Amino acid sequence: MYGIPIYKLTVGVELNLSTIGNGTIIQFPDNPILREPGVMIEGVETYVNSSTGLAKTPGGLTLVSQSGGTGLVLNLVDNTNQQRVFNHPYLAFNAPSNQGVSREFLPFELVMQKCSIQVTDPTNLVAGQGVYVVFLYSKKSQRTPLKK
Amino acid sequence: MDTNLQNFPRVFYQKHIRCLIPTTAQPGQIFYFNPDGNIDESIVIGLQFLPSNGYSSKLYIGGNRLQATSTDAASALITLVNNNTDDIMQDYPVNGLFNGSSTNVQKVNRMSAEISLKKCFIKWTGASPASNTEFLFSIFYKQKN
Repeated sequence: MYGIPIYKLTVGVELNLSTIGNGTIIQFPDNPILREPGVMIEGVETYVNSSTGLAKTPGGLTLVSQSGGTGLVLNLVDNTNQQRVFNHPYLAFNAPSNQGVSREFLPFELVMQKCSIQVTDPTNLVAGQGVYVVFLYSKKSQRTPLKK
Repeated sequence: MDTNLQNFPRVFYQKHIRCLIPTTAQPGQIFYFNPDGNIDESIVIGLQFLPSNGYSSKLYIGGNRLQATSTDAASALITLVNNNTDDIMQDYPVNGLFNGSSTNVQKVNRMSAEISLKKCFIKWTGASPASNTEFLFSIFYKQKN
């Protein structure tokens, strides 16, 4: 049932867009929960500042707006150095912009320090705004085998 | 990822859980859910935020409280904790438990977890609400086998 993942575990990661030049790449900070051995990413959600989204990150940063989100792309790299998500639009992972559907993946091990967000259009972004990416993940013991 | 249609949640039991954000709420403050023994002894299989706007309509909550809207929820992050005191959902946007509009796919977050409701809370990130604001959720659960 693609598009409707089971929420086993989730963790949100915020990123400060401290520099917003055209083409700027901002790396994600390390996350001890996602770094744990056996943690597999199963889905990703992003959020923007709207009445059906999120105004502030847990750390108090104002989230990017819907229009600001159009100027961001996401890169996710797994533990074999493969680009699992390459320059994919930030808003494509935003559920309210996509009929309420969350994006899910075949499980993979994420290397957070190699993941980044790139600014492709800073027009509607303000330095110091935040992005909030929620990772849906599971631990080895909780995984259900895939049905063929 | 469980992709088996057979595992799509069916409603075994359903009830509302509530969390009150008072007018004195400050950014970063957390507010706990009321404990519920039934939930604590069950496996939660689905969760949905019920704002007063949108398709899910107004519910009677009584007293001097207002049912939260999705705009209120933009300032709210939910943390769900299981009976081993592990965070299951950590600082998850409340609007992530709601699909945004009646034209969208109905979004009920599928789960499969033993939740200890008395340890779950909402973190408020906005300015003080003008009225006592109550967040209502539909929780779907089944008894442990």
